[in-house]
Amino acid sequence: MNKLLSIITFISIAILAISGLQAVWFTDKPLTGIPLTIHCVVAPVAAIAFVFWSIIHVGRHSQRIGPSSKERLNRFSFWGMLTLAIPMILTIVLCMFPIFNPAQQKSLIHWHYYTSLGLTILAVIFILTRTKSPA
Amino acid sequence: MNNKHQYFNLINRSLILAIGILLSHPLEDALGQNYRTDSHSTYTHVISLYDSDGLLIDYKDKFSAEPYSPTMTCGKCHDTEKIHHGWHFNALYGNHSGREGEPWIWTDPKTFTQIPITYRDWIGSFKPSNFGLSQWQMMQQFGRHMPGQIAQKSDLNSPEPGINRTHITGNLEVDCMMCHSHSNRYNPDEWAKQVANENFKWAPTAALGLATILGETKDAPIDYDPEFDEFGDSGVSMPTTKYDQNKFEANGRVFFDVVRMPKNESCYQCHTNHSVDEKSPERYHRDLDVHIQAGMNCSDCHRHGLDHQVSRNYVGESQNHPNLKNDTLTCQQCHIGDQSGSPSELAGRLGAPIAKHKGIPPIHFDRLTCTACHSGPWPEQSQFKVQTSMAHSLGLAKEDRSPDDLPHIIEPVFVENKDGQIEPRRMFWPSYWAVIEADSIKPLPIDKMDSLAKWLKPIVADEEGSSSHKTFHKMTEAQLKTGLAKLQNTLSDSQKAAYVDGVTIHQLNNDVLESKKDSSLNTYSWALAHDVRPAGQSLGVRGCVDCHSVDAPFFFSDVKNQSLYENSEIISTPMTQLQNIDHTQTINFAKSFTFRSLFKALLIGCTILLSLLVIIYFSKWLFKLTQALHNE
Repeated sequence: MNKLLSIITFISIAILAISGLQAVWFTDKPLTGIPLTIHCVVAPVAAIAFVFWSIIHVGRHSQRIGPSSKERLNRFSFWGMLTLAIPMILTIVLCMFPIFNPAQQKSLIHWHYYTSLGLTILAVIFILTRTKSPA
Repeated sequence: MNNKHQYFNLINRSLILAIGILLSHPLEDALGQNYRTDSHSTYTHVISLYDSDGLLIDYKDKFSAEPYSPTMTCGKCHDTEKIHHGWHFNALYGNHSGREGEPWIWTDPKTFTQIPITYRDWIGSFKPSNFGLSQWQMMQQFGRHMPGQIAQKSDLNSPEPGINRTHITGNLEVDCMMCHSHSNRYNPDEWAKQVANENFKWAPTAALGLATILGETKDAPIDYDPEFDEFGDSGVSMPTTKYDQNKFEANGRVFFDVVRMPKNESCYQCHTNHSVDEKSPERYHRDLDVHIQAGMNCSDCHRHGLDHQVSRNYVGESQNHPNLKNDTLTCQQCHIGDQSGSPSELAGRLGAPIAKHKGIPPIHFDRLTCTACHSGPWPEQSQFKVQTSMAHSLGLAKEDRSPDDLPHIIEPVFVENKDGQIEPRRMFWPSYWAVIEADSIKPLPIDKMDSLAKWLKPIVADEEGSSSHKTFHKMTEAQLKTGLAKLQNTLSDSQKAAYVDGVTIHQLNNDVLESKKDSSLNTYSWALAHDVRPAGQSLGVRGCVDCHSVDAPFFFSDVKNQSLYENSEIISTPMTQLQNIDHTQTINFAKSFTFRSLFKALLIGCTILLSLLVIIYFSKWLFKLTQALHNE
């Protein structure tokens, strides 16, 4: 179950990253069309999966750890992901409410980009530095 | 006309000319010198009237007084040569066409013709010469809603087709008072009557109410030359100008109630749009443009200098018109502006409310024009039939007006423009008889239309017996076949008769009617900007679902062809096709909005849970840290 949740979480994060970042890196246009549809469909799945995955793993990552730098890096990436996920989701949710004007929304979308880029990098680090659960 | 009076008039005119040259009237010294006051107040124009030869008019002459010439009269102090190259008069110069606009539409219900013609380089329109029309014929047909001649006769470099009766009718000069008259005494209906009577030269005088014009040049034979008929020997009666003596002051001058910035009513004379659709509310329920309701004038935004290059205020206009610097008068510039830019780029000009557009994703401002959400009627599943002044002679009193009057124009149709933005447009389907030669489709010249009309014997029946309200009946198959067969008989073997019906072409092949779509044919559409609806009545005010729902007309209505042929195939074009976007993808995206509220709630829930996790474990860590520090 834990493994399945981890797979869903990281695959959905990968899909979001590819669909979102390709627009910025390769088209230089706002996210539209099929990539936007994929992004919007996968986003809630990723959000729910990430929350449950975090709840399951947060205990493990709050325990005392050994002196290994790999372990430290792994813990850093976990807490980094958890922290960045909050502004990443908030920046896009806030755009959906009649609070910010288009210029402010553009700033929020920029922040959404930077936080999601950071989260993606941390997710990669997390996978590369993962160790087997003591359980 | 009395020969004696003609004789005396000739002597009088010669004397006036001689005296004028000798004494040099002070105002004539001012010719082309641009007299100016540079004040915001209006200069009181009490002026002398001059005829087209530049001679002072003898207004007391009841038999042979000449009509006044706006060019010569106003030209004493204003640079009319420069003014005559302005937007309203410069179509023939052709080098500043700009964005596609409303063309002149030649309509003829007897031959089921509605064809866009203009001198401007607008895609989908025809040049008048393609249709066998001369400048003079353009004036005769459309001068009713034209503020004067679009170009001087001398501007033509090559001989043009069609009829030219200018030597009889005179020039339809640019009439300054059509726009600059402050008084309702200026009578556009009288102008149109004089144009219809082919009294071109007399139209400005009659419209301003300076004189009564008796007679018309319409019946004069084309070989008639007034220059050689000074004493009326030919029996042809030319119009006479009887000036209203009360209009003249003791010094022979006339008060012209001139206003620098034209009144809205003057603009509306040629730029009214009137919905005639059954779905439209009654006229008294309709609102005018929000800017007008707020007390603004058309000329507050549509400005120009002495050159009369009236700004149209679409985005990118200054690229089409290098001399124009009107980007500060676009919707964006007044309502959004650039708050970090130079003072001239700040929003709020003329007290414009600054648009917040809170919650509207930025992509909307890349892909939509302002008018897409704010202009024209609120879109419905079918478009609205609309009539315009230029196309339907609105503003002129007629008792047989009908919603079926040609041309059949619809609005709003949302189309992707050259800049990749979706904008609302008015659209119609050109219908005309044509000759196909070497795969080239050419409209039938106008001089062949009379014969066609006889062959087609149209039915324009009175509705309800005695009623004068006429109903347009579409062309029957029998009429179409007859027209094609008869027209074919007048053509050479290499030519083929055809009837263009929007994007379909009908031809006879061995007496069998063949209809097929032709990719070279297209509709004609032009952007609509007015009437502007206020923010509270713009698309999206009720939420995203105004457009992003599966039945939203903005994306998911069909545009049906408006054919003048009764058996024409109904061609439905999805709005998404005109917008150059994928229909399936758009509908799937619209469906996703059903779950939008749930989506938002879910994401907020996730954010709260993640925040709680971080706060709890951060607090725990902080607690442990302080305990450790305490123990040490």
